[in-house]
Amino acid sequence: MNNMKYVGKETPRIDALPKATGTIKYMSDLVFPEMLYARILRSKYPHAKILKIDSSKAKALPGVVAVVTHEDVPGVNGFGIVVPDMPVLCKDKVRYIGDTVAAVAAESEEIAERALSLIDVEYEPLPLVEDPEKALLENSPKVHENGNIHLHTEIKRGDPSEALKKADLLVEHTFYTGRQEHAFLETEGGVAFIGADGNLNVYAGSQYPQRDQLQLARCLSINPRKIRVVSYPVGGAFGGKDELTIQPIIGLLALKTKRPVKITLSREESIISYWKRHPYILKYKVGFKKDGTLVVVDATLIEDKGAYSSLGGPVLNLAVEHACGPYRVDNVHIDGYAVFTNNGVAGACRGFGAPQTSFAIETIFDIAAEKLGIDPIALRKKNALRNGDLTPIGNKLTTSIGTIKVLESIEKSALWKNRNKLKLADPKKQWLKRGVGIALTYQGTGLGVGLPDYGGAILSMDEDGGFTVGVGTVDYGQGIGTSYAQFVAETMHCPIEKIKVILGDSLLSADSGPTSASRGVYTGGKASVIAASKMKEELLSKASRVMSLPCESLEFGNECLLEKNKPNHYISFKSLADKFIEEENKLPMTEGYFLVPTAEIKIEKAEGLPHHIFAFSAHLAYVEVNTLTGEVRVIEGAEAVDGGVVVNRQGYEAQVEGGFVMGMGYGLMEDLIIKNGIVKNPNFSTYIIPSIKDAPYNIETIPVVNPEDTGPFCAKGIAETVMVATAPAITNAIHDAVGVRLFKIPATPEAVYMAMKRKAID
Amino acid sequence: MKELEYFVASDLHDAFSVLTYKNETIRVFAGGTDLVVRLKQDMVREDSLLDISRVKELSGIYESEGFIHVLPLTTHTEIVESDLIKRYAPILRDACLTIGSPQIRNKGTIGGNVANASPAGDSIPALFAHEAMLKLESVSRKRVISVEDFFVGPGKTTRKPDELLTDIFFSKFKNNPLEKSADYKGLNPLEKSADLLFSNPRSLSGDSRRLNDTGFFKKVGQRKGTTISVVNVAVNLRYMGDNRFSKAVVSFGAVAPTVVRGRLVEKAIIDSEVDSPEKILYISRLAFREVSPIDDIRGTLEYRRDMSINLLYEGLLELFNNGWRRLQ
Repeated sequence: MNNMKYVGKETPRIDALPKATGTIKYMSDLVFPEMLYARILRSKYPHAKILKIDSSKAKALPGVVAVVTHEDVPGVNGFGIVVPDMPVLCKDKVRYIGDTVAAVAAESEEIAERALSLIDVEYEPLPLVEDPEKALLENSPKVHENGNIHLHTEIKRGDPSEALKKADLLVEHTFYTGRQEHAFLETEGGVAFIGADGNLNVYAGSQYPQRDQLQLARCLSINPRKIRVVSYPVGGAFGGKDELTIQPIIGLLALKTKRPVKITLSREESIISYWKRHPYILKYKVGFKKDGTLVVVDATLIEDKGAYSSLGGPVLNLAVEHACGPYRVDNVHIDGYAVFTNNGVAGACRGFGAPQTSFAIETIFDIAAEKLGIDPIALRKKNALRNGDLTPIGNKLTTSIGTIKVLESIEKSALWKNRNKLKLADPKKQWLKRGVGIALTYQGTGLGVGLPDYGGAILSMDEDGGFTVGVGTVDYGQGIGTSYAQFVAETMHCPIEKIKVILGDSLLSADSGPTSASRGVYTGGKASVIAASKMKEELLSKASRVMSLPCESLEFGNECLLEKNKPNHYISFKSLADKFIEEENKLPMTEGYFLVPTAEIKIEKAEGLPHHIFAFSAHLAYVEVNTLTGEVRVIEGAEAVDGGVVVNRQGYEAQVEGGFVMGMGYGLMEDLIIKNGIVKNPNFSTYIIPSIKDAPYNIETIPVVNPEDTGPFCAKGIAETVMVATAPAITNAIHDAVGVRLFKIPATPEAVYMAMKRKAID
Repeated sequence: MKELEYFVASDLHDAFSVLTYKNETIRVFAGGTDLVVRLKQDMVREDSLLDISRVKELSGIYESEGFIHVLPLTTHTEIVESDLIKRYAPILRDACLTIGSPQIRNKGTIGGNVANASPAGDSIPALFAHEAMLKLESVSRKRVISVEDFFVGPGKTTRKPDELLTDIFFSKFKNNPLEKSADYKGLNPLEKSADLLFSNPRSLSGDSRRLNDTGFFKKVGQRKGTTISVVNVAVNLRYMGDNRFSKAVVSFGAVAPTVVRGRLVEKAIIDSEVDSPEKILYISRLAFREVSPIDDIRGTLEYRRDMSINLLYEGLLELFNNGWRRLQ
């Protein structure tokens, strides 16, 4: 890619200036004339029948313009990407503490707040469903009428029970993972209003404007074409804004009041009410041969779904698919259950089921390496999936497979090569111990078999000879807007400064599917390249006519078309744009669509499986453990990442560093605690995320080039894999330092200390 | 958040007038770093606020007649940056350095941290260690009490509703009731090395005593930055040489309804020759009997009790390994 001008080159973010200077307008900055403020009345109980809702007193309060309950929902009173089981406003039952019962629009936030306290709701509390394992029992109280099992996915290959008997080494453990909050900077919020054309406009940051549009149409009973959703800019998402949140409520209130209605959730309301990473219980039995060959994985995965479906089913399926790690294994039994409880709601979150299983399988690989006396990288290499192999769930790998490459790269890193020297801590402080840990992972790019998976882009020429590309996917921090600009600039031979990007607008940008599943660069990028290739054809034929030369004798130069071998005979894009306006009274516009290639096989009842294209990463963590307090300091980190190619080095590094630190939070400190259905740590003084003082002083990014032919300029997506294996790398490093295994994350100082204490007592 | 009446005092006289008039119904607002969070969560009982942040008389650090005064509106950042504090109250400095984030340290005040009376307030054990005194004033009276006598329970102090905390001070050199005869012999190595640190070494006996002061502040939290103490400990020792001490003040935070002194530990330090890691461990384990922690969202009883011991052990061991010199 050395002959390229933009792709693969360090490129400053196209949105850097307005974001750094604070001039960009996020949804919470928007103010409209006559705007009302909304507040939501949420359930008082985690599980209860609603006997009566009386909002007459609230409606009578001066300054209150509308109070809505389930009776006011004109369409389907439910939303959900897979199953629309989450009520816009609850009718006869509440299923978690953030469930919505009523909403108010008032002249001020204070009045709206006061109105909430005037709404009388009579409840009859129901028995709680708290423990996902107990929820599976026949006699458990039910969260939904159809029972507590939202989804059961079981995969069986080979003869696992026989293989377990024959294995030389059997590793058997149960693992627990925490309920991670996305902790995006901007809480859920936005403004809804009726435009001059009578259409409903919903400005609320999210990950997929066109799907929001369809879901809103269903709830509000209006033609989707009469709804415009603008979901960019957004202050972070990480999967937490894939599903709807407040949009149906402000939409409903705007329709009801015919005035703009705004809401911005407080941090507490945001944490209590919306999506989290699912906590998992993972029961593993894994068998190896003496020589390290992985022969069998038998695992039961129990997902605490929370109260409503959202993407809990697909998350479970991805966990099942990734349960064995990126390894060859012929005897497989994975039994997965997504179980409803009254523990809040969980949905998509960066990694989508993979971080949970990665913690389990990578800990097991570390245990096996130790017990078999095999180097942990050698053991992983021995079993690593290669091109042409069948994955644990049985699909043949035919795309770019980087398992061995990332392991080879991480093996050459300074951190790994010097790991024995690095183990030496300050000799004056005998209570500090150091260690290095490794973990390997992969992550499917795209939605998998059975779900429509496509990219779309609209490209139009601008009057100045530049171009505007409209893609529905959203840049929520990962930098895809800049990648799209790079792709278009490169393809069009046009300076990047003259490329405009419109993201996340159901009217102005093409439907490119959800911004999730590490697919933003891959799908939207490929669609942009296709649209740009078509644009080149348009420009070529126009230039050919204007210059009276056959197409074959023309070629693209910098911002122009020129006659081959006659560099002085050219027509600039600007002149071409003038010609288009002069002759056709419009500028050319092209569209690009791209269907993501999928695996050949299909897994019954397991939508989204299998994946076909994967990104790979190997993670290292270098830690220091204080044996007196259990505190873990991550001194350094490194990741070797196969994302196909590097589109933008700065963006690549930012993803790796951000992913590593997010994975570190997952591994060491983050867990939303829900007891008796009540959230115990609903703010950032009690829900602990890593601060800059916790971040390692260096996280080495090692890009591994492994071109994926189907991707734009051979790129894949790295957004998730970069965080997935950080937690097990850290817990494996803790073991290297102090010899204790953590089977539960987060490994808080207390958890690490107690593990060491128990070991000392034993 | 409820609506409140908001008073701004421009000077001390103003503040006292409002306080006398509103009495129990008003809450004093200094830096607001904790209060604003509580206000937003509707966790404040009072209906009005008295903002004293502009009362200039209540801010600053100075030395007078052998005492260091840290006025209550002094921010944690000002404390951390003060040469007087660096010299005479290094443990307080270390404690203030660990409070919140730079933004919180820029706004938060020591008086607020003290009057807020959180058992986990980081400056409080440090003030215990420096044996600080507090001055409380109302329109009609003034009183001076030891910092230890100020706290009654979580968020509860002996401050009367019409009183304001107007001064926090401690002696540059002070006799501890537990201190043995102060005429220890000769100079010790510590003093020599400390002399090198200052361009103008003084020969005053008081200053030489200060130069033999050693100690530490330590805390364990749920993360490294912007963290609330799960347990903290402050220790101030006066070294006599030969692993012996003439004075010891040990205090623990977040392990009881208020910050507590570790009297048994102090006595053991003074009574023994602290000459081995084993002895340090033995002494530290006495903390077990001094603390009465609870389970909460940040930690369990067992962990807190163990941490009282282990933080003390870690801190003392670090000093021991460093020839009892304070770690810089």
